[in-house]
Amino acid sequence: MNRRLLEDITIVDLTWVMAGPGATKLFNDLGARVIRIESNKTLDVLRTGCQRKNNDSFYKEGGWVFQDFNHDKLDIALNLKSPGGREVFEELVKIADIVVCNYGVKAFRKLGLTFEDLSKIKEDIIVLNASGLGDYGPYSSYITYAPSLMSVTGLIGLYGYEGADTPEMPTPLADYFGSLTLANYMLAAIEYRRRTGHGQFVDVGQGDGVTAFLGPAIISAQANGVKYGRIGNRDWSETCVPHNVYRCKGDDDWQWCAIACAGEEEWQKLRGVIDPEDEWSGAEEFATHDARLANVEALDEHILAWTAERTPEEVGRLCQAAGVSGAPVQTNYDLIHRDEHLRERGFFCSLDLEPEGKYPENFEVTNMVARMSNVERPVRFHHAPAWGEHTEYILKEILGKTQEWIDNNLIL
Amino acid sequence: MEITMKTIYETLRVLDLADRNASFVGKQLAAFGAEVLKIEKPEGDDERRRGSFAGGTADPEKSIPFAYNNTGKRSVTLRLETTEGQEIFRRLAWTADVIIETFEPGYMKKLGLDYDMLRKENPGLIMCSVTPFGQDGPHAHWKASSDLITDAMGGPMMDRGRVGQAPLHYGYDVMSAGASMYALFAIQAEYHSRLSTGEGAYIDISQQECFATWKDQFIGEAQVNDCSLVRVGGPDYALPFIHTCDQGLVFASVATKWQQLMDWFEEEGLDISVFDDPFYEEYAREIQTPINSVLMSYFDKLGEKYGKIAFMEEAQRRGFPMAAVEQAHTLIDNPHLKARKYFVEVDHPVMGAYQYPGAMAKMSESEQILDVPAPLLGADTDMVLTELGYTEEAIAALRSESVI
Repeated sequence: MNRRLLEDITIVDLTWVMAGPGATKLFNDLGARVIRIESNKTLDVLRTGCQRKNNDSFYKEGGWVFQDFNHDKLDIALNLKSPGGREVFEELVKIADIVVCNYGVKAFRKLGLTFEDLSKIKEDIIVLNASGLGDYGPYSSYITYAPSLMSVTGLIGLYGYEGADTPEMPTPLADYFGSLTLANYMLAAIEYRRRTGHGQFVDVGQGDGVTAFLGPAIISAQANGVKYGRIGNRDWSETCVPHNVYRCKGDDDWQWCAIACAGEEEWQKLRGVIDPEDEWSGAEEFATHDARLANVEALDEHILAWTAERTPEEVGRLCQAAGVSGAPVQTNYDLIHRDEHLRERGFFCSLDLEPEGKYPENFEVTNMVARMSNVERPVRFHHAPAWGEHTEYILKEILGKTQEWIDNNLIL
Repeated sequence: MEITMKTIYETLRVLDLADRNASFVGKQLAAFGAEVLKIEKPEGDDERRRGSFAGGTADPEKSIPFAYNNTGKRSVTLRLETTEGQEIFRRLAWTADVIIETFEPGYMKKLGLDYDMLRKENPGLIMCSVTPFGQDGPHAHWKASSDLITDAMGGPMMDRGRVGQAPLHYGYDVMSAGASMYALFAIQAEYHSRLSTGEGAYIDISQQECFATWKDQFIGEAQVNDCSLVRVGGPDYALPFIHTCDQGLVFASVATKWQQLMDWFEEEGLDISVFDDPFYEEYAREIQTPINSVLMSYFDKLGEKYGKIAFMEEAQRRGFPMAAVEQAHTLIDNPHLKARKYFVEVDHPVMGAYQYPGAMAKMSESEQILDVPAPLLGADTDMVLTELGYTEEAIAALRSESVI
């Protein structure tokens, strides 16, 4: 048992923020060698911003999101635009399988990172660029970041409260989906190279990946002329009714539950839980799936009357005991301190952090998602690298540079 | 459609028993060139009963989610609950590289078709289970008929929506598709490793854990700043603002280009003296300035003049990170996606031809197979059984017994 499924893969990682590092993290966790390149001009924003304890910035160590995305990776301080920096970069390319970046299309070319450029250094190199909207197309040089990306890919148009007059901005899913698309195409390109000996360029316009998840809605719009929009917490496919989030007992705004029933059997089970005396649920208006859809507001009101007198945990417990899809909407506190299921499955993993004092003891990040029978499950991660933490190691041990070379060449 | 040497997986054989919770995995493997056999009970996989339906009436050959999530696959009907069905499956498993399934934990074992059994005859087998809560643990048998439940339990739901209103689910099956991508990665990683070791593995994916991973920002927040209660949403979520104009919605951001914005308004003949107010001083400096009703009204006018897409194009031309809020019914007309040939026509023999989202990323050399429709129920059963050595009579007998 080990966890080095991908140990034969070396990745030169020019990415920053979430989508790129999220992808290389998946590789790093399985034993690949991930070498982050960070210049002094473009420090990863997750180091310097976003999350601060009491406004104290984590310059070198990185905030907790940085820790989560970059634990256990190697990091070299390098500027591609300096002669020494470029030389080191090209030597890293020579030993790499993959070069991955997330530049805008102009910067990508200006920095000499295209497949045409890098294949001169290593013929079968695999290059991926995760730009916002892709390497070509009329919007390819548009400025994008998560909110605008989620807008133009269709995610925002399909999200939000029913009947609200202003739409909503959710948490940034596009980055996570982007990292998963990137990671999967990296492995696909590796396999292609194994069979053919050829590297290539993969244009990972993050928008392409995100829109791919909206296939059913996009096709339905064509086939049935439906203009899908914001549906709150209802089931767009109408497979489930009821299907909603309901307020629970409590004084604050954090007591909620979710209930969904697919089909007649589950509905009958729910009836047994919430209306054991059959006071309302046997009525004509709730007798069939279609009837329940037609009268969903009245249905939800009845269910709310029941949930409002119970805690989220009770709702989950009672529903599940009866074989009904019901669960509390968990808070962060619930996830870390109350969810015994996640604890037992070892979902969290502790992180050895330096320096001490800035983080609470036993600070945890999320563990690897996939459990594989031939991969030992980590129990402790090593903290994310300080900026340039492994520069000397990489120069000397990996590239064989002498101290003299280091003294005489500026790489920043 | 011709499979050339340029696909990713030329010889990979996948047995896909996944319902809507992970059918996307096999779809992507088929796009990469794998041979994906969808193993369905004779009545059809449950996803065939999932709406919406082309034309509006329920029909196992007209489920749009099924049609989309199962492009490129073959269909073999098999009743796994019968002895003969299990025998056929075992023989197929012997020839397979990958099996994907989404049954309740323990179900495959009950049928004698779990990984420990199947690997005996096929040590290179990679088997992946995707379930709402994983294979073990106190909630392993919790029911989740919708990813609403796992979104709630995984935590990201509580971060979404407005304070005072219900937390918001991310619908349209988007989240379970995302979870499928973890399965895809794990399968590919195991395949890669198997090339050197010859050994496969068993993969257990919990959707709850996939979703919980996507909220890590707040998990850290909860520990470091002892702040476990967060909800982001509504027009007060300062950075993004979405405004309605003519053909739809436009996400609008000023992003420290205040002077350029004033110039734009002026060029359009709008009166900018109202912005002399000291209230707007910080707009020149800060990205996260809210769009108030005055600015709203100005964007409104420009939006009405230009229309959604043109408004975005003009704004971007001037350096504003604005984006049109596309919707499911407008995406196929998006000029950028059209130029990228993003949509692919897929012609389904019963449903007809529609534009489907195509490749999730574009590869300069490898070919992805994107235009093969989802299979009709059981279309390949006879062919596959014949390959296994069953005679016509045997197949007919199995059919009459409802094994296939």
